[in-house]
Amino acid sequence: MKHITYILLLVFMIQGCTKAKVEHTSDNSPISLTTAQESFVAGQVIVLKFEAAKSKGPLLVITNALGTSIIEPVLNEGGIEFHIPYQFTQKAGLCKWQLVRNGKIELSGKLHIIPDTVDGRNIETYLGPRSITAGDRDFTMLVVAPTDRYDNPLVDETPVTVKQQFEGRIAEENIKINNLMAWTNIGAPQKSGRILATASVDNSYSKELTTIVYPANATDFTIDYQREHSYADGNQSISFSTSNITDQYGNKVSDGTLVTFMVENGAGALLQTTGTTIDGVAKAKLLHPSQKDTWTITAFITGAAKSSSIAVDFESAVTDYLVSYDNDKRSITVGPIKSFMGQQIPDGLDIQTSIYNAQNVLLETKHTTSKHGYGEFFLSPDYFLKGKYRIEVETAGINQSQTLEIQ
Amino acid sequence: MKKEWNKNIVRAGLILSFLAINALILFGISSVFSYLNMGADRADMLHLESPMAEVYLPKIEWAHTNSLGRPMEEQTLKKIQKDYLSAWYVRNQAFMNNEQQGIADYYTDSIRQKIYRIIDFNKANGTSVKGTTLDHHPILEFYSADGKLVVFTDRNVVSFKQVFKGQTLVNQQRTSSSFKVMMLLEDGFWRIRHMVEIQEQKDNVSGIEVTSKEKISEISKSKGVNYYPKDSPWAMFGANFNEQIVDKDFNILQKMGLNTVRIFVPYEDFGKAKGDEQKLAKLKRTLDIASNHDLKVIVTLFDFYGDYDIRDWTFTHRHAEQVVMALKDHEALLAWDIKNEPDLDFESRGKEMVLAWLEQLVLIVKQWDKNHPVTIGWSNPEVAVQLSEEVDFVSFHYYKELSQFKVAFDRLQNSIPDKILVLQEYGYSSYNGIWNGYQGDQKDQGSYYKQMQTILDKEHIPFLFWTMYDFEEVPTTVVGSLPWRRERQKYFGFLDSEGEAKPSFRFLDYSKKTY
Repeated sequence: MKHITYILLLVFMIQGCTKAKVEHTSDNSPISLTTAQESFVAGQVIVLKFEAAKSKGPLLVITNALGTSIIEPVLNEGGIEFHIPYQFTQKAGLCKWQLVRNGKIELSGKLHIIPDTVDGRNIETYLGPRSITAGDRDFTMLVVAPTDRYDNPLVDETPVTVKQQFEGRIAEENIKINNLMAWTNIGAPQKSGRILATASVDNSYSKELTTIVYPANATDFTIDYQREHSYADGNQSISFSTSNITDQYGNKVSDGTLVTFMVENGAGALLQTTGTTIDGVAKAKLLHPSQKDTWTITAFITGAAKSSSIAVDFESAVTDYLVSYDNDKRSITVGPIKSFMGQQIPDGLDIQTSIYNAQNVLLETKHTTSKHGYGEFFLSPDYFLKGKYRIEVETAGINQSQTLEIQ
Repeated sequence: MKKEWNKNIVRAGLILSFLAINALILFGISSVFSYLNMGADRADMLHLESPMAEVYLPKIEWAHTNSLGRPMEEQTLKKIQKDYLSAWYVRNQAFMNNEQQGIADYYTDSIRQKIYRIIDFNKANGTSVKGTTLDHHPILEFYSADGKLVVFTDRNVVSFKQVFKGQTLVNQQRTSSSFKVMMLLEDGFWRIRHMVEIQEQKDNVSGIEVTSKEKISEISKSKGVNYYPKDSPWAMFGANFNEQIVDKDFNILQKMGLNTVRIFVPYEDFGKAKGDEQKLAKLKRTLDIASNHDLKVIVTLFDFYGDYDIRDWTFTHRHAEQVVMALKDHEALLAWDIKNEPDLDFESRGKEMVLAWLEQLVLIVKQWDKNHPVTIGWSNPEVAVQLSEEVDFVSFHYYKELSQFKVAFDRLQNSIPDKILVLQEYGYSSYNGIWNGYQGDQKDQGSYYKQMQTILDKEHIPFLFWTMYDFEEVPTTVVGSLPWRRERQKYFGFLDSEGEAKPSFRFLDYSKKTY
């Protein structure tokens, strides 16, 4: 009474609503199923026959796991029959049918369709993870989902043979289908390499699947170094290398494993260089220091392993050098700086000069790098007035202090 | 003189056309301006993921038994469930429209071909299937080590479908089936690889228990009212909800010797499938207050709902579930009324559709609440025989001639002799104005109730009259905007809009009557 017109409003809202009319025919003649067979093999022709007086009227509604359809009857002597279309006969599982007349279900039943196991099987295999770690803990799983030629999964308890190959050994296992598939775990071996897996049902075979067994985590290792000479010339490089890094089962760690070399120098500063392993060995380089020093080196594989520490001594390459001035004492020349064989020190050696006034107050620190064994400084008249100064020159770890008077 | 007139007409014409042209120009400029200003929202640049509208909400409960393989992660299970239900949804849609849209997202290549073949077959034969599933009970069987393959058994999937040949409904039915399902994770979608229907295992399918006779017979003692507060009719649980007013009203009803109120839960207002916690709390509060005044409550669900489409079923079920679950243990609850006057939708929505929807709801409400009887509030006694097998008692409304009531009642009782009948709505408007030619007033209302109550008391017919108050405003959604309907609807109370008793009050006051 009170909610009359809101419904009228709603009529406009959804037009997709089909008005349902029930089909009415005034046929009530008896109808009965004459097909006794209930079990079929997928792909087999299925015809449901009924004894009925008239062919008009009844329709067969069939439903399987994927869909529902209506089938029209075909007249036959003494009755009607329904030819189940291939869309339904080829799908294994239950197929329910209902004979509907005048909107009412007159008869209903089920067809049990089993997979066609005779020939043309198709075996789907799923292997994963596709990479595992050597040792006793990791595994990969092989799932086998065999189907018949109509893509119906085979019935439970169907035997499946699984084969796996590793390093020339072939292992075989028999499993059974349960819940549409059969599965087994393949444990990782202690050696790295590849596992090949395959499955078969009777005379049907799957394709080959691979999982790669990677070495497990690295274990502790040792390091060594190589260099051309022991002089701290700031020019040659020292190269570090690791021993053969392996996991606990003796597999060389995977190529590309990052090794970090940490160097602590005499002053406690940390230097770092990295290398990645090739064939179990990682190499990395650093430039020699430019002054006498002692390095302590340790290498790490982050989160996994470390090496023992080694110590490396560097001796001075430069023993002494001259500091000279021009006439007005504004240009300062450091050098010649000579290396361990009397040769010019390679260009680029850092030279530092600190300038103090007469009261010994630091006025400025100047830097330059050596070129052809010499380094030069210029004390600008704008800043350094005439008078007495003290300069302190430092290079290659050697200090020289001199006083000068700018004129 | 005549010349002068003509001149003025020309002038007026010129001025008006000038104004009109200006208005058009302004309108044109503003249209161009607003056109140039529309288009992509700036937030669109961010490519935010828009939450997918929930389109399919059947009930799904996972059973975690000892599944094999990898232990299932909660997050993954949610994703599997979402994609599995989407797979059902797109397939339902596909078979309804005989189109392939969406299937490729949720079915792997080989199974999708099989579905396409059935769709093609149906298309060629003019068959279409409207269906929905209502209940899923999946049991996880297997989850592979790499997390890319899952097998589960979906047991006792309750589904409802209508099969059409052209426009003709051939058959509609509710079925229960079990499936073994294998899904694969492909491109971020869980897709169905295999789906095989298996033999149903009947063992633990819980049959619907019959609501106890005692509970049903409680109905036969009902004397009550269809209740809305004076100032918020048809919007009782909105912002105007006031406990004190409800308490005061229920106190009056209690003092009148009444024992039942019927209240309405609007579908959209209560948050549709999502449910509105606040409104549910207000509804609960109302029942608490009723219980304080020894009143029992008939809760009418799905007020202002009128779709019934199969695609909407899972939403309505989730809605009903929330309301029923919230109230089913409340002591004031007397019965569930699935829907008010659904027969009025027979013509616009199709009788079969409406009845099928009602039947499903009666079934599931009984499943959730086994202790309270379920009814449907039919708009007249003639239609009330519908679904009389399914409901626990039969409710009907009567607004026709008083003299015909007894005949109509007897006819209904004779056709369904074993069910209790409740006169769930009846009443008389005391409207006296231009729209009814000043026919009928408060006295007429009084005499209507006098006669009606005499019949009801004599026959021991449980009743709920319409209504307590005269309303000052009636929303157009209730009876439309036609003034003769709206005005009439305002004067059905036994108290006027000031809360003063009208003559009819005397005949409804059971504190002074002896039954």
